[in-house]
Formats: sequence, C-alpha cells, structure tokens
Amino acid sequence: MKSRRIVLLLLAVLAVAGVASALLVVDTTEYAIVTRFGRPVRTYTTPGLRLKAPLVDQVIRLDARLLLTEPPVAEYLTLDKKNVVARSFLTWRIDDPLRYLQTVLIRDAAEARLAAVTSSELGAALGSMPFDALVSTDAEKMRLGAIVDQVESRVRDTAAREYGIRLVSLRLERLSFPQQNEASVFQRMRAERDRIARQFRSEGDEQALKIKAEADRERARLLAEADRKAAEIRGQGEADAARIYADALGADPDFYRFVRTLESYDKIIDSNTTVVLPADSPLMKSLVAGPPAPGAAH
Amino acid sequence: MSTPATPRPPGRRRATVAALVVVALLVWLASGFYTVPTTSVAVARRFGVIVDRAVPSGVHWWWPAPIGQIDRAEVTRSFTIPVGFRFTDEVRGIAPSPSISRWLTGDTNIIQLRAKVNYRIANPVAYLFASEKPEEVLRFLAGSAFTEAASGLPVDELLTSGRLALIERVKARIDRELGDWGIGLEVLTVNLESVEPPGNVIASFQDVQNARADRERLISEAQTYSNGILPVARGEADRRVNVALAAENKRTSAAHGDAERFAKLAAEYRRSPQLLEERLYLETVERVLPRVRRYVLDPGDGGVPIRIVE
Repeated sequence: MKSRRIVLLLLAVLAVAGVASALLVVDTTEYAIVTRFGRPVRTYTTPGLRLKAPLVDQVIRLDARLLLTEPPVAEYLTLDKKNVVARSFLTWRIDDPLRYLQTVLIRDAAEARLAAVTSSELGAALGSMPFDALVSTDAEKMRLGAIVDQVESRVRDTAAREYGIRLVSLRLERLSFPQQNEASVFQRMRAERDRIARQFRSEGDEQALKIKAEADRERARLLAEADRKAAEIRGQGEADAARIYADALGADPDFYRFVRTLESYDKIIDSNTTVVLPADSPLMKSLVAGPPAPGAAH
Repeated sequence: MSTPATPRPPGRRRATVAALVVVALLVWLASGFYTVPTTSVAVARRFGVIVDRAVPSGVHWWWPAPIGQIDRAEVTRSFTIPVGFRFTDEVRGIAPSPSISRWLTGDTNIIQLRAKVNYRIANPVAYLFASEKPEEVLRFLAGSAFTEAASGLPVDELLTSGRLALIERVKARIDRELGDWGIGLEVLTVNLESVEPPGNVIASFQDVQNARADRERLISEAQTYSNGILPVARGEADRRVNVALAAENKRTSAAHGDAERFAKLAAEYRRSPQLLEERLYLETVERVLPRVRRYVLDPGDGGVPIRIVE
C-alpha cells in the first residue's frame, strides 16, 4: 500500500519532467537548434511552443537580435604612408543558425572572426587610398563613404559565406591620428592659424590704404572739378561783361574814347605827378588872355 | 484542519491536497496582474510569441511566467545620448578623453565637439526585441555620422557658419541608418553644444579672431577718415564755385552799370557834343589838378614859370 503510493508519486514526477523536457519555448529574440546526441536535427527560427524528444534532445539557443561588435581600435597606413587610427563598429545578425553553429559556435569567436576580417579589409582599402581621400573638403576627392561601403560589402560577403552571419552595417565611429603624430598636426594647425592671422592683418592694411587713397583722390577730383567750374563761370562773366561793354560803347566809339581817356587821367595822375601847363593851353588861355571876344568859339 | 499527530482519513487528505493545488493555481493566476505606467506601453508574449504589441497604460492581466511575459517601454519620454563626452565624466567634473572628444576635419585639423542626440522609442516591439543594445548602437551611429560629416568640412566652417550644415548632415545620416537597421529608435534632435579647437592650439585660433577684428578696425578707421574729409572737400568745392559765381555776378553787374552810365552820357553827348566834352574835360581837370604840382609856362616871355600853388 505504502510502496505503491511511492511508485505512483515517482511516476507522476517523471511524467511532469518528461512533458516539461518535451516542451521547448522559442523566444522571439532567439533561434533554437535541437540536437540529438550532438547532431542538429531541427532548427527553429520562429518563436512559439515546440516539441522535442525528451531527455535525448538538447537545445542550443542563439541570439536572433541585431548584435553590436566593436573590433579593437587599430592603426592603418594610407597609400601615401600616413598613419590613421580607425575605430569601427559592426551590427550583424545570425542569418544561418546551423552554419553559425558549425563554424563559430560561440559569440566571442564570431566577434573575433568579424574583427579579423574587418581589420584586414580596412587595411587593404585604406592602404590603397591617399589620405586626402579619407579627409577632404573637396567633394570630388572625398572617398570615405565609398571606402567604408566597399569594406562593408566585402566583410558582408565573407561573413555570409563563412559564418552564416548577415552583416547589417560596418561603419567608422572615429578616424584620428596616432598619439605620436598629433603633436605635428597641432604644430601645423598653429602655423596655419598664424598665416591666416597675418593675412587678415595685411588685408586690413591694404584695404585701409585703398580706402584712404580713394578718399584723397575723390577730394582732389572734387576740388579740381570745382576749380574748373569756377574758371568757367569767371570766363563766362568776362565774356558777358565784354559783350555788354561792346554793345553799349559800340554806339559811340569816339565819345567813349574821349571819356575813357579822361578816366585814365584820373587814375594815372597822382600827387607825385608834376604837370606843366603852357599858358596858351586852352585851360590857361582864359586866365591869361581874359574873356574871349563875343562870338568866338574855342 | 488537523494536527499532524493524529492520523487523517484518506478522503480528507485528498481534499487537502486538492485545495492546496487550487490555492497555488489561484496565486499563480493572480500574479498575472500587472500595471503599465502612463509613460509606457507594454508588449505581451505567450510562449515567446508576441501577442499584444501595444498594451496601453493601466492595470491588466496576462499569463504569468512561464507561459507569458510582459515588457514595458517608455514611449512618451525622450532620452539623450552624449556625443564627444560622457555623462559620468561630466558629473565628476572630468574632461573627456581625447579619443572621445576629438574629430578630424576636412582640412586635416583636429576639433573638439560636444553634442547631444535626443531620441525616443518609436517602435516598442523593435526596441525591446530587435536588437541587443539599441542605445549603444545609436551612440556608435551618432559618432560615425559626426566622423563622416566633419571629415568633409573645413575647420573654419565647423567653428563658425558650418554648424548648421554639420548638424543637418549628422541628423540626415542617423535618420537614414536608423530606418534601415530597425532598432525601434527615432532621433528627435541633434544639439551641437560646442565646437572648439583643442586646448593647445586655442590661442592661435584666438589670434585669428583678433586679426579679423584688427582688419575690421583698420578698415573702419579708414572709412572714418574718408567720411571726415569728403564732406569738407564737397563744402570747399561748393565754396569755390560760389565765389566764382559771385565774381561773375559782380563783373556783369559792373558792366551793366558802366554801360548804363555811358548810355546816358552818350545820349547827352548826342544832344550837344561839344558842351559835354568840354564839361567832362573841365571836371576831370578840377579833380586831377588840385592834387598835383602844377607849372604854368608863359610861351611869350621865354620860360619863367609862374608858380600858382605848392
């Protein structure tokens, strides 16, 4: 009676364990590979509740999500022998779980392989390009995007072929100079700044001189123009005056000559002048000779 | 119920076991109640399969583990990823290491920049289940977008007018990649907090600023000089023209006056020429002779001058 109950209980426990080990929950974030004695028999790539043979089947779960890998930062040499440090990163998924399982088995190994492939492909690509194809303000020369795309597609091919991995992206997180080269870069930056500063200052001098010279020239032009206009006006005045005189005086030239002669006496004879008058001059004649006879003129 | 010391009848014992099982079942089912905060939505899974993609906020029930699973994602909040620095360093007041903060520019200069990428969870299912470390992926992506954008722009542009172009390029790049990668995040804004030259060359960059200011100063001084002399010159030019105009005026007026005077005299002259000639002659003599020394010679008796006035 008692032993029968123990057996029953044992059977119940075994049944629960059996059912539990026959059930397999595949999550939405993972793939499941069922292996029987180490040999893969089923691969589940969609989530849900699955069945498997209890006890003999084992389950290997693989991450189905987008995975991020950062290969070690490495130094590369460009075509023109410049050292650059590239920090890359990759995002990838397991595309073919079986192949992945057979070739790399675990995540660390997959990442190591990916890093190695990336490093060699980057080395080859950067080594075939001059430095100014990586870093350039000239859109024509700039090849960084193309280089990265090329490396990405080569690594993608290898990863898919060899490891059942689908590479989603390979990008350069950073591009920099090795520590020991930075000093010379800073040196060059300083020299460049000094040159630009000098240029600004001499430009300032040049433009200031130009503005001043232009102002001086403009002043000279304004004054010369004014002088020309003034001379013209004066000339016009002279011409007008001459015309007025000619019009007025031309009517009686003899009388004008007489009046004008009298006027010039007024001017040319001053207090230092000595005038000698003959007593028989018309002026003195009356004084000396007395009043003229009636009827006589001059 | 009964004390363990007294043996229980089989029927009662079976009922006890059943009751225990029922209670355990009820407790298990009750543990399926869960809450979703107002800032979040939840995603419900049953045996690993997504059943409800967006459970709204409130109290809900779902199968407890191991059958069901609930995951929550904060969809209304916006989050920030630092670029060029780390929040932990900032809190402790440590400057970011050069390998984090420095970028190469298109003209092979080195700059330090700090930016913040603000993002939100746009697709909770993708955010929760499509990638291993979505935030980390976005952080790397932001770094690479800055690398690509900065390596095509010259340092002077990055430090001044090119900031907007930089941000636009970075934002466009991130948007494109995020769409392709499907990690459920959406970038809202990229804020460039600072772009500056590294500390050991900053003085040289400062000097360029000073030189630029010097240039502006020299030019403005020259402009001041120009503005000072030109109005004066214009005034002087006007003055000279006006002086000439006045002289012209005076000259022609005088001519008119002379002409008029002469015309009047001439009219009188035409009436009686001899009389006028004589009168004018005498008037002139009257004006002229008083101020000179005069000698009158008598032609009759051989040169004895008669002195009239000294």
